[in-house]
Amino acid sequence: MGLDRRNFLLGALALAGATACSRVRLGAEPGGGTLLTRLRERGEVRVGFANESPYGFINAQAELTGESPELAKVIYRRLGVDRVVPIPSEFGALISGLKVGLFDMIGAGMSVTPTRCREVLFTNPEFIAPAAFLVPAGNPRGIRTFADVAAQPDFALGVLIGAVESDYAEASGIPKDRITPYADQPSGLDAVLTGRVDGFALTTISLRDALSKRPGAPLEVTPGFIPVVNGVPQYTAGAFAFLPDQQNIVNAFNEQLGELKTAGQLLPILAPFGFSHEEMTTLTSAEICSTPVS
Amino acid sequence: MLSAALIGRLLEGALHTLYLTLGGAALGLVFAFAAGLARGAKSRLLRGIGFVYIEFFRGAAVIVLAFWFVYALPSLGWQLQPLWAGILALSLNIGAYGAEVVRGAIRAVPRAQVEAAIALNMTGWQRMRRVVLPQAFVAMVPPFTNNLVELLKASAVVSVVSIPELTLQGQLVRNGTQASAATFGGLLIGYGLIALVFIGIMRIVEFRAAASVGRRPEPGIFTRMWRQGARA
Repeated sequence: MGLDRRNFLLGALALAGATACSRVRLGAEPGGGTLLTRLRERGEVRVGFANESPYGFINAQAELTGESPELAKVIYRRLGVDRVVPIPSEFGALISGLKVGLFDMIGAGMSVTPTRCREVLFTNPEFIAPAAFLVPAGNPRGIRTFADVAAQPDFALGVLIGAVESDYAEASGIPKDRITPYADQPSGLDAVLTGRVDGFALTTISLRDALSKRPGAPLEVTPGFIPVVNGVPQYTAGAFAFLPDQQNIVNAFNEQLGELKTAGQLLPILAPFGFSHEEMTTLTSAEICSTPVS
Repeated sequence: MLSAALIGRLLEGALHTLYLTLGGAALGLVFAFAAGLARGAKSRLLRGIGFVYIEFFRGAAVIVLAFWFVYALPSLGWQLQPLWAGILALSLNIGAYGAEVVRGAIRAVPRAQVEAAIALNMTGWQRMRRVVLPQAFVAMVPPFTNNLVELLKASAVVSVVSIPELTLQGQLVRNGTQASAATFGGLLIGYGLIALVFIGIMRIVEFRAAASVGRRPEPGIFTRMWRQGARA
């Protein structure tokens, strides 16, 4: 039997099938997990990021940068893992992607929320970020908080898909049909610019960053505020996230992060991305995770 | 203007788009012929399988299939690499469209051709392979070209499962540079160019298929322009 066209095609198909699938084990690892050991052996870590500047994005040299990847590189170097491999993902698919093993860790400056704490294990926050709105210059509708938006029944609000602002907005009494989700920041900015929405809610950091890349756009960012839902202040605190059974690597990560904070070395890493003293925090993820779910 | 590294990223995206399109087309062609032939089979079971496949996957959104393969399948204990998941989702969908093309083209071969083949004492499989399919294939090529271009564009939606194809790379570049007009303009032209190349190749396939059954298809616009140029 020679290698005729039919055999070749069958062979190619079989080979494709064999390389395409692999068995996957989604059960929990006992004893806090061995991820760090495995990463050290592999010499690289796959980090899921959401293409959201300044948390994680591609710079003009086409390299992944941003506060989260830069901090991850520093911490992993200290932990003995040399290479950080970026995997782009939609923000809303980050947790699913982590769960099915597309990457080892989420590094997208993801906000720690009690709901997400049930799904993934967060490290301690590397920053806090107050919420704000991107609005036309002069803030013609005069909004400062989600309550202001709720009070104007014809105000159309844009949010980022899967981001916490959408939950805050709904909890503040803004009906769903007035909230439009956008896939990324530039789309939200364009939506305000073209009048599709009256304001785009995100953190001060993200909005200032998006606006800085469109100099001359007739838009402004409202002053930051801490949203309050049912009397509970909602801190938007960004952190790295791991699978729930990987407490050991989270502990190691927290230890390194704590040392950077104490030594005053955290801010210099984050400052190039628009972070300041106001965004530094000593909050722990445990504190945020234990706040009651609104 | 975009830096060389960013353009490199876009080219890498175009390469993944090609993988998705060519992989999806190859596998989709297998599905199309299997289901299209099954729909015309004598066995009720085969006809039923073909029917269920076509109606299910023609109606299933590629984006949902891709999500399912990447995010839901692992809970059953299997994992597909995102690129393969994308190719499979695309090919299952385009294969269902292609199956109807195959079925229609086979039915369009004149009945007299089959009767002549029966008179020559050909078996069922010989009739299909030597008489019906070569003629049907000529009729399949133009709608297949449509499907191929459709597939190329559909490949953009599977970027949601972390496949670094052209659209996803474009979004990364656009977010890093905020050059929306340049990036998306480039993507439009990029997809258009890839489609033109595919269309050109399919024209050659069409000519060769027609020539193999002794026909000559109408020359296309470029051939006519070239001939006129040669005459002038």
